[in-house]
Order: sequence, then structure tokens, then C-alpha cells
Amino acid sequence: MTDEKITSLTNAEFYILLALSRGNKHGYAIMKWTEENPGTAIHLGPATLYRTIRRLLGKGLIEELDERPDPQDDDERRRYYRITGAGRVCAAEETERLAKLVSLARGSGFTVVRL
Amino acid sequence: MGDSDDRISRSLSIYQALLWLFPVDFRDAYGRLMLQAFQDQLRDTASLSDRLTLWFRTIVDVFMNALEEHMQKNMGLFRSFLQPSPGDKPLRWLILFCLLTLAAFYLYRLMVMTISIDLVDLLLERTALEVGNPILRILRHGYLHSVVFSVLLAGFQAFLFKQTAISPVRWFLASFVSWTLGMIVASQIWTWVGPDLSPLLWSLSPSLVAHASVITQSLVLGLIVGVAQLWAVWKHVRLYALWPVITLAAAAVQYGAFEIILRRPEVNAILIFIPYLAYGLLTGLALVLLLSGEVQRPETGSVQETSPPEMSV
Repeated sequence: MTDEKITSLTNAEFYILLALSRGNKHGYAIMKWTEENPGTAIHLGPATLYRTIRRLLGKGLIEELDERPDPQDDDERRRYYRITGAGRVCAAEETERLAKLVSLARGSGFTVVRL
Repeated sequence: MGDSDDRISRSLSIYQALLWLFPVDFRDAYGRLMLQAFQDQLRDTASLSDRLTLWFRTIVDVFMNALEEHMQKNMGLFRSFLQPSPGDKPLRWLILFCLLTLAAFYLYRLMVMTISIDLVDLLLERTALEVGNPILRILRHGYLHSVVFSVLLAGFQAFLFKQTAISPVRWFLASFVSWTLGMIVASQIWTWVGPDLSPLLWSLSPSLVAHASVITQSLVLGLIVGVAQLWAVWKHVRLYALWPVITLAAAAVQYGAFEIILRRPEVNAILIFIPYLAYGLLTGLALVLLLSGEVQRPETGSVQETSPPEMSV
């Protein structure tokens, strides 16, 4: 075993942290970001989204905002979320882990050869 | 525009109905937000194919997450139902013990009927003849069935010892080895000792010879299983010296029931389960009585329950 801390983020958790690292967002904005971003390009349904948000809130990796970032053009029923310091650390550790994994995979010859 | 609003309104009603699949606390906390997100998604769909794709994804999303949410919520309850302690819930433990004994036999019968054991036998026979290996030759004589049955029985029963002080691993090893060995030896014992013992038994009582096969089988299986399982229970069961006597009695009932059933002109699928039910009932009842008042497995072995985090709004 290595001495590195094991980050336990699911894909959905990681994507939400990534989305929120680019600015505070409400639920649907997170869904749109993950769907439209070429790096993630996955579909998060409302149920998956809010179950994951509940887990991230429980772990203290994100928090709900009291103030509205966009008071004029906004539905007041929306809830906005923000990534916390712990969330940034956790996402950074996960990024590091994935980078090592990618490096290992490339070292094993898994690279796309474009003809 | 009006049509579009109507369509969205109908879709939202359906989605709202689907939200009832979620546990009430989750629905109360997030139902409104989910509905709003779905409404936003609907407004972004332009074509029929977009709407169909969205509905397909949404239905999968709702069903998968609702199922997971219920499982997460009820897992503790489910686990405690499946693993009762014989001290606290003796009746439930006994019923599960009997049902799992029957399940082992049922699965074993199902495997024998569905998987081609003949093919296995054929392979083993060929290998045994070519190699001359006595172990393979023993396996070829249908004893593979005993191994299959013993694995299932020992595994299912060991599962029920998780809430007791008895080690499930010890119980599994003792039961698996002894049941396999016991069934193999018991099925052959009378052909080995019968010719020598029959005249002696005849001189004692002619009726004894008729039942001699059953008696010797019971003795062999009961004692082998009883002594082996003693290794698993002796530290924890009061009057543990009784255990081989109990397994012997249970084996006698099992073989006796088989003898009676097999003499009937027709043997149906229900009757064939009775001997195993009787065996499970007797040994299970004895375990409940002998384990009553025993301590449960220490807390260190228990699973730490984690409740889902509370949402503070």
C-alpha cells in the first residue's frame, strides 16, 4: 500500500465538484455543464444529481449558498451550491490519482494512434 | 405555444407521480428541486426525438435511484431480519435455518437436473480410467453430488452463525468436509459391512436386518458430522457433548424418512424434501436450545451503520 490518501469520489461527485470549481451553480446549471463539457459529456438525471449533492453536502465538500448570485434573472426557488475548501482538496487529490492512472495506462501502451 | 405548455404540464404531472417511488424523506427534501430540474430539461428539448431520449434517461434515472435509495434506507432492517440471533429471535432463526437447509437441497436438485452431471461423470470416468486415480474414480460414482450439496448446505448454515459466537468459517469447514465424507461413506457402508454383519444381525433379530442399512447409514453420517461440527461449537454450546448424539438422531430421522418415502409407489417433489426438512428442524432446534443465553458476537464484528447525511435547509 502507498502512503497516499485514498480519495473516494464517484464519477458524479467528481463532475459536480468540477462544475462548481468554475463558479457557483444551481442544480440544472450543474447538469448542463456536465452534459455540454467535452471532458465529461455525461448526462446526470435529476435524481442522480440531487442524491449526489446530498452526499457531497454530507461530506462537507460543497455547501448551499444563502445569497442569490443572479437575483434579477433567477427563479427564487432555485438553490445554489458552492465548492468548499475541503471539496477543492478532495478534487485535487482525485485529479492526482487519475493523472497517475493515465500515466500508468500510457506507459502500458494504451494510446490512441490516429491514422 | 399552448400545445407546448400543455405537453410540459402533462410531462411534469407524470414526473411528479414518479417521484412517489422515492422514500418520503428524500422526496420532501429534493422532490421540488428535481421537478424543477426536469422542467428545465423539458424546456430545452426541441424535437420529438429529444423528448423521447429525455424520457428514456429520466425513467432509468428515477428507477435506479429510487431502488438504491430504498435499499440504502432499509439495508439495516433487511440485514437484521436475515441474521437474527438465536438467543433473541429463536423462532425466526429456526425458520431461517430450516429454510436454508431446504434451499440447499432444492438448489442441489436443480443443479443436478439442469446441469449435465452425466457429462461431468463421463469426463471423470474417462480421466479415472486413463489415469487410474482412485480419487477421480470415487468422484465418478456420483459423489460429486455430495460435494455440491455439502458446499451449499454448509455455506447457507454458516451465514446464520454470523450473529452468534460460533465462527462461521469453522462451521463451514466442519460441515462441508463432514457432510461430503459422511454422505460418501454412508452410501457405501452397507455394501462394505453388510455381508459380514447380516448373519450376526439375523441371529439377534430377523427384523433388524431389514433396517440395518438405514441404521448404519445414520450412524456413519450422524457421527461423522456430529464430531466434526463439535470442533466448531464446543467452546460456545452448553452440553456440547450432546452434539454428536443430536446429529446422529437427526441423521436417523432423515434416513428413516427417506426409507419410508422411497417405499411409496410414487414419490413426488414435495415428499422428497421432508427428510431434509426434518434434519434441518432437529439440528436447528437443538442449536437454538443449546445456544439460548449465549453471548452474541462481540461488537467489533458488527457492521458500522452509516446513516445518510441530513440535509439542512
